[in-house]
Amino acid sequence: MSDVKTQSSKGKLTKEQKAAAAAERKRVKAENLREQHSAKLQAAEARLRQEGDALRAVRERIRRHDALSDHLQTFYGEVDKLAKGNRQIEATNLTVEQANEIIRDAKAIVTGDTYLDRVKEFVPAGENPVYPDVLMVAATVQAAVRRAGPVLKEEEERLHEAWRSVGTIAAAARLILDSGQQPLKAEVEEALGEKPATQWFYRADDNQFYFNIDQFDRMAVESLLGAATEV
Amino acid sequence: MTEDRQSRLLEGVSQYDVDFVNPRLGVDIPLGIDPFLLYKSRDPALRRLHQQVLDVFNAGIKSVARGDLAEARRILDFPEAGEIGFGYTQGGKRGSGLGDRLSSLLIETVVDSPSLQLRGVKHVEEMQLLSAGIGPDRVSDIAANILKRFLIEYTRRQCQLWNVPMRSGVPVSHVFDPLLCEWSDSYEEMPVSPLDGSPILLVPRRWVRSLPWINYDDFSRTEFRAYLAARHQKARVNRAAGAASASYGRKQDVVTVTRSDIALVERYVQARERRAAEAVPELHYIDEDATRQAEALLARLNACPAGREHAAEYQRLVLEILNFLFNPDLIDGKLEEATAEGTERRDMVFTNDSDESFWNYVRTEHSGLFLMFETKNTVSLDMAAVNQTATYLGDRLGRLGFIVTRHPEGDAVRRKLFSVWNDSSPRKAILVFADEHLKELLALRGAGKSTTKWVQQHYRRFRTAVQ
Repeated sequence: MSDVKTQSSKGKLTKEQKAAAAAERKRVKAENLREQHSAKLQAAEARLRQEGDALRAVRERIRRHDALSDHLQTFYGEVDKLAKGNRQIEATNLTVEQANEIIRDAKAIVTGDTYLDRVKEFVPAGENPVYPDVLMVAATVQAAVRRAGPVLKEEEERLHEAWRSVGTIAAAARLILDSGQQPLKAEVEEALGEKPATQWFYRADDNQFYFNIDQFDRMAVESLLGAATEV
Repeated sequence: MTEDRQSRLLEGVSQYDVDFVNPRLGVDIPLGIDPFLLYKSRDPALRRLHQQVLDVFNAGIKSVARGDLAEARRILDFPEAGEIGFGYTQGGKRGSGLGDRLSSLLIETVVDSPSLQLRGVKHVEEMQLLSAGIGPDRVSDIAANILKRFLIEYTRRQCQLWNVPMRSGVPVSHVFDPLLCEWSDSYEEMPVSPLDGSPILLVPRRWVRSLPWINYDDFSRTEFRAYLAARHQKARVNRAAGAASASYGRKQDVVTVTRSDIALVERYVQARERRAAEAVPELHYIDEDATRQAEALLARLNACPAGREHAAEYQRLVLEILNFLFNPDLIDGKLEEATAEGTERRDMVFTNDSDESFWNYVRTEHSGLFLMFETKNTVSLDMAAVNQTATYLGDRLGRLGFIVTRHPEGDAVRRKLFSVWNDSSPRKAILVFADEHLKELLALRGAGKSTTKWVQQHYRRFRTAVQ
């Protein structure tokens, strides 16, 4: 560049020199852009792993919730039979153990439920609770578990959307780096393995949906991922 | 205060507050030692005492079986144990001269029952069902004589604890030596009656009933009645066939049957053993007003200042209170004093011999045959006290301990109690009894209600809070 300036001071740059300078500028710009894309890809993939972990965790909770719900229904039914006409009969040790396990499992799955928080495990201390008391606690836990179902589902959907959105960015960034081209929605879908988040695409004049690379380039990585997870 | 209360060995202390039956001077209390209460005890030391009674008695039976009546007479020699102050004579002490007769009655019974010679006894109380002349007081005499050595040691310990004056060189007759299998007389340091200078032996409250659990009255109402019902049915058939019927109105007639059909006795004893949990020590002899005693203890508690200089007074008062609240479920409270790493320890250890389900749970869940109560005469319990108590819980003293102090624990100490529970394996639980808790317990006990239930709830609150 300094040679070019020297040349300018003595006279105008040659056409070839101007072209070389422009090419260099273009190369540097492309290189910078590639580095930015790479950084965004790494950040997106890291965030995607986090979102994936959170999603797996909530799906595991849902699986345990469904199993507990089923077990609780059976347990309640059996204790209900035993409680009928046996108002003051102490529950067996097995019944009490199972009731306590159910309470522990429920508290591990369901959080922030005031009524479940108030339920404590039975402490027999020489006298087991009577069947109606076990039944009442089972009913309370059952209600809390039932309330938690839709909340967990909602949480799963939210996390899935966030995962999908970040996944869309990561898949698109990978395609951009690999091909240097603006990826189509169908290409991103294939890379992601499911339908991508639509807010990252626009319909072009050729009626095709393209990944919004301008938005991708314009936004800083924090804003990009923040926007992705705000679903 | 009744007139009787002025003639007790230990004055100024309530019967409720001590581990032993406080003797009435010059008058027998209508109670007896019931060996069955030793048999069913959770304390292995007491069960060994029961075995000792059986071993001696069965040695006498074996002597009869091999024809050595002189040896049998030597072993089965149980004079009246006047030292313990129990008997059914109204308003006085028992007479003399019945000791030899008991020996003869026992030998005559065994001689007359080959099946008894073969089987031996599983409970000496069975002799009531086999001899017309043997009743609850004889059973008590048998046990008192064989266990006299233990009772001497126990009496000495209690007198030291309660500052009852003792005299050296008191002649005590007929003390059994289980190692030599011999009776001998000795001179002991013991309390004596101010009325006639006779030695006094103290008996744990846990050992006494007005009637032994295995007794003739119950036997005749239950097992023997069933036997008769079967016999009458048979007799009706026989009468129809012309045979004569037998009558069993007198005890003499009954024992004629039991001596020849020992299976009757065996069945009855097994039935009683199955219901062992119902055999509880007698409390009806206590003629004091529990409510008044509860109030008196509470007043003393309120008047006892907190602080190190009153620690000994507080410890003694807590012992009385715990005896009042929990005897005979928790028995034989012993005071221990020690200095550990410059810190004074004042605790007491009770034996958990209760049939109540909660105390049974404590034995099984927390190995709590012995329970430690640490007294801290302070308004502000600290971590060091909790650490100290936690250190002493374990195999010997079990894993449930109590700290008795003036005020409830603060938040930091409560968290420390929780961490002791959570961090120990097997888990150790420490419960705190403050003045306000003792007040509730005293009110319950004074009203004749269960204090065990309160402790059970207190324990549950702790276990629930720590979740």
